[in-house]
Amino acid sequence: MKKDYLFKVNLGGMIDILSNHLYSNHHVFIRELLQNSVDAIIARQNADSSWKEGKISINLIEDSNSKTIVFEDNGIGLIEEEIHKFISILGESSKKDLTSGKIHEDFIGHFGIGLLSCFMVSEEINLVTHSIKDTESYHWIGKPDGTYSIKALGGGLDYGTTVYLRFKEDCENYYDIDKIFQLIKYYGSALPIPIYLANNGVEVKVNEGKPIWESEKLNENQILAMGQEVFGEEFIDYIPLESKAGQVKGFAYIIGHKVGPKAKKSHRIYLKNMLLTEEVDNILPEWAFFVKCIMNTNSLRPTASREGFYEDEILAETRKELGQCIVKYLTAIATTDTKKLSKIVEIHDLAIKSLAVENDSLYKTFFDYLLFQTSQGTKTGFELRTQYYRLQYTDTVEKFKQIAPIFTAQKKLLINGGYVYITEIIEKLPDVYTGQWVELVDNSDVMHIMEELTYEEEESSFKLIKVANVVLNKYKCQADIKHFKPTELPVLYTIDNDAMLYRDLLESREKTKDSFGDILDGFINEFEGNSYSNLCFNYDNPVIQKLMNLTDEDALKNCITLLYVQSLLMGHYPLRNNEMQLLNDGIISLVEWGINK
Amino acid sequence: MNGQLDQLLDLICETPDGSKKIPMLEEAIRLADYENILPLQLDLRYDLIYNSVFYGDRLKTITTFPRYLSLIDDNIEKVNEEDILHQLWGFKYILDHVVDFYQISWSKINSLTQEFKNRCIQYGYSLRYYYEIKTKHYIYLKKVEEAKASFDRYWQCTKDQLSDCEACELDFHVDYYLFINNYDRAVKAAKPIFEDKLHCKEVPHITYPKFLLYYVKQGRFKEAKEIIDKSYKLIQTNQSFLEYLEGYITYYAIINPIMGIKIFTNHLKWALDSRNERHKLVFFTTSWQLWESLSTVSKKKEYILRLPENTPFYSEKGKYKIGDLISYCKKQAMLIAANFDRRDGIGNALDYINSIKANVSNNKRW
Repeated sequence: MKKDYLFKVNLGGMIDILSNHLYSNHHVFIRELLQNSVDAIIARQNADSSWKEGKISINLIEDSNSKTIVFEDNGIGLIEEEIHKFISILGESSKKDLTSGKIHEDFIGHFGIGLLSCFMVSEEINLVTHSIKDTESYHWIGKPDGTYSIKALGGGLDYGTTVYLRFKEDCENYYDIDKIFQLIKYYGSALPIPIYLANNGVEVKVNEGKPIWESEKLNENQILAMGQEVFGEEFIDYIPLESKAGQVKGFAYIIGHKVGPKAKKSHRIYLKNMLLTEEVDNILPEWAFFVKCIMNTNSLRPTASREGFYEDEILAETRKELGQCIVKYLTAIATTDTKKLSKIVEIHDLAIKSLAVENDSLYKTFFDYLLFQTSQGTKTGFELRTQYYRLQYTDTVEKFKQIAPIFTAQKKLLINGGYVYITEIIEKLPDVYTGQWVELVDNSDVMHIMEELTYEEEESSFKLIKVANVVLNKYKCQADIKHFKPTELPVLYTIDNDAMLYRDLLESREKTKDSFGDILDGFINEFEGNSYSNLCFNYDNPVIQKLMNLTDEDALKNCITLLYVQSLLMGHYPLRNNEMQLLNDGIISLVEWGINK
Repeated sequence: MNGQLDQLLDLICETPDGSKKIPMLEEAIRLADYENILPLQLDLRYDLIYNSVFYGDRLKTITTFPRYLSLIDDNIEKVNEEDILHQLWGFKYILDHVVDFYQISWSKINSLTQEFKNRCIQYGYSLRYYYEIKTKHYIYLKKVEEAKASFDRYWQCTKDQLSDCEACELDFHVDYYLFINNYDRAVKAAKPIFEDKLHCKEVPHITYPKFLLYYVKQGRFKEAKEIIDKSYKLIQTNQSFLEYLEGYITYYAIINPIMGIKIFTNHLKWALDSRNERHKLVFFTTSWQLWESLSTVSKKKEYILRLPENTPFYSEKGKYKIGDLISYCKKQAMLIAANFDRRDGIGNALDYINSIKANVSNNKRW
């Protein structure tokens, strides 16, 4: 017979999980209490629109044995039924309407677990409340083992709710007046409800003035100073942010130093004027990693830990709108402040390049300011498109390193397209600017820009190339000879993708145990015999001229092998075992040859 | 440290993960090897393996891993627990993709899988992933009973740091249930993924195409279209998803071949640049059928296409004969299939080509 059972929940364990493991740090209990107080005051205002005296008072009471934080609001308060239902059932929010079961959209909290965060700093929670709907007041005591009690206190108390937290061992730093002040200011400085903090009979108001996103009269310097004060660093500029979807207002500050896309995002995000978190990393588009933001949202949905937002359609639309704010700003300064744009592009070139790749109109805006590594030094996009009718580029750093010296010596331009986004940007140029011509260069093209030898020159170099091909064949390298500049360069080693992969495979196989290395054998066999690198001798180089006239074949072989190994070392290619042996043998032979001479 | 290496490491830190990071990492590895700096040699190799898995064709994963493994084994007294965990993750990445390369024989695949199992036991990790990959290999070889037995063993193993991605595990369940023709269980497994309760770097990107292919095979084109509308955007910019174009191209070959041309031209470069043979087999087989469909649907013998410059029959003017396109795709598909069938000892790859052909000709809506 089928029987249904109910899950049993270890309440103490659940409370421990929620209070000690959900949140990333203990001091969020201040945020949760502030949030509850604000919501209670808003609820009272909703019930009585003429009432405007909302206030939050926090007091630290100290005596020789204990310290107590008293957190008081004059909000709507709770009736007994609400205490049982909302304060004492995990997951039932006190912000719910008892009859409709809905949470009013003005409220910050939603989950019915915020109060539990107080167990991180207090052994028990005492809560005294008097609802505007009731003549009776109540005293609720909650314990982390999951038990609670309620006592009626009669009438006479002011409306509102007061929470008492008593000092828990190891949490003494949260019962320090300076720390409490700092935390209340941190989380609540933008709240529209006055917050007072009292200690030893002295009371101060913590939140003065309007939050930055509501201060229409602030000038540029004040807004920048605000960013500097909050984040502790100077910024290049600020960008006003606004999103209708997420009801977001705020500012993005452009960071004055290079940051990587993986750098920790540290935006200061407020929810309905209450600081929610600095941990959110999904509110801006991925490319916008070069700004830090202060912003308030009234409609994004925070997760239960309050340290992120739900990835829903509103967030996606908000992200898009905030991205558009940044793009609009960058587009505007391209005409109003080109110096600033150059500076931003110089520091945050990666982010700007990714934007340029994504969007044609932005491409046109930014291209002139982008920087490119070329065989003629660093060039701006403007220089490239106005000074050169034909742009040649490589698609890997490796190729650029191999062939750039030839281009440099011949005063030709070659762009290093191996770094991220550069190839895409260069290839897009003819689509955006008509009349531009771009061309991908590979190693075989380099051979074409070198000058061919005459018949007589070929005849005089015949022996050198013949010996070189014999010597280099076992290293899967073929020899050639041309005229090229710079003349100081005796040989040029080039290797295409296949040959490079083959070389890497051989090297990896040599340095790996058989049991793992043998998975590479199938690939090595496939490349065997058809993947050659190229060693091109420079006919105009004085050493090569002497080698062509060298009659001692052993010495010639040694010189060729040493030139080959030297070209590998110059290119930072790790030497394979047989190449290392070659280097050793070559040096020893040369030494012997020199001595015997 | 060498200034050049230092500079390159800064650049790598600034560069977002992606295929463009791969050559930079390779260059940095060369320099780190040259300088013999073990922590860098390991970290850069792990980063390369990772980027090749998620943004590349996975060949670099295969070619980098043996040396990475040896470096750790040869310096076991110098490495920490994290390095060991990374090593096992590297193993996972390898085992996940090793069947894609016909150059690696089954005896080597099996010995690698066994080695992974031994190391899991040695270092105290669960065998959950071991049974997952065994199941996947049986699915590849179409061995139903063995896959079932392995899947049962998988369930008996506990989760740990080697099986900590819930989304990936559910995606694997989808693979399994679709393989044993239990569509309802597959849908159930995918529910949290499609409701966006679970996601990761590859999920739901790779989960949608699996259902797409299922619907296309079943002739359920309305459902197939719904998936296409919401999922193509997830895979269209990352070449590591080349194999998942299968359902999209087949769908258009059946429903509206003209619409499929864009998919072919947009992604031919991925296939030409890729060294992942199984992915290429899938792309060229389905593209071949797409062009066959077009040759029947339309009287046009020539098409103006924007194809990549490294297309073997590249035309400056962009004019391509449909016969050339069919014969190139067919040749590639047949050549690769023959290599796989030689490695696998069964006619799986040729069967695959025939099944796509049959699917298109039996279901065509034009």
